[in-house]
Amino acid sequence: MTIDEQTLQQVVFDVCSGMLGLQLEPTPLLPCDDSDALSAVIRISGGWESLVQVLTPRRTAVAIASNMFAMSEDELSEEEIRDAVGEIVNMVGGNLKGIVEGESSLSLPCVGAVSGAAPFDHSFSGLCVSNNCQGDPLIVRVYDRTAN
Amino acid sequence: MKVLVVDDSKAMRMIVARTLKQAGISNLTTVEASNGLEALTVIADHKPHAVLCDWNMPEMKGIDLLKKLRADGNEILFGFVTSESSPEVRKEAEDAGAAFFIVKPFTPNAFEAALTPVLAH
Repeated sequence: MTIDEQTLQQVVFDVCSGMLGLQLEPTPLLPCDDSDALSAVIRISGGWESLVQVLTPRRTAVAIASNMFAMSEDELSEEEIRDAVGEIVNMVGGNLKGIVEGESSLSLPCVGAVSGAAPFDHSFSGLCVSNNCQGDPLIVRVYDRTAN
Repeated sequence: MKVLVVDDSKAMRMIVARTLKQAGISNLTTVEASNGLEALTVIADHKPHAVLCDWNMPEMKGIDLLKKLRADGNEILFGFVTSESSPEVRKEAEDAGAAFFIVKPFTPNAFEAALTPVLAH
């Protein structure tokens, strides 16, 4: 089975809403202040070569971390905020890997700050779903390196 | 019941511990480790009744931890809580002696369904 937009959206929904109880609503790519965003990337290699990215404004990442740690936003450390976003991409990537036939392996997630590179632009040509999460965009992209 | 939760994500360790409570595991206490290597020390020091372990972690992966325990003759109740869900991974876990396999994302019901049968023994 290959991954399409509907499958990707379902996986994102299962992780963010089904398990974590976050408010999640599919939406067209929203204009967003991109000056302070977090990007979490995980690599799938083997039978399916791909990169999965979760991209979100920092304030959404903080809201997600607050939910996951059951802590108020001002109590969270930078490490905890990045850990939370990394675990989102880990769960999404792991589930996508399980759907695609063939044996592949999953890397550890890599989380970093993104600024000044218009991360929320419309130029990405791979598979992409955009959701309104707790009031701000949560974007998940899949770059299929086998197909490109 | 003392359960060791092994995951390199602190957030996930907290969620797993929280979900164990929500699943109604009685007399529960949890201890934590952030990778397989650290788990070996925690198991030796705290002697937990069960291990709930992630698959992909730095230092020592969950499957390598399970194989090390079994090679050392330790038959502790061991299961995986992981985003890995492929048949190949499940089979490798079963072959190594895992008693249960819970896929992230999970619910308290999934924990209850996986743990109740093995805890009854």
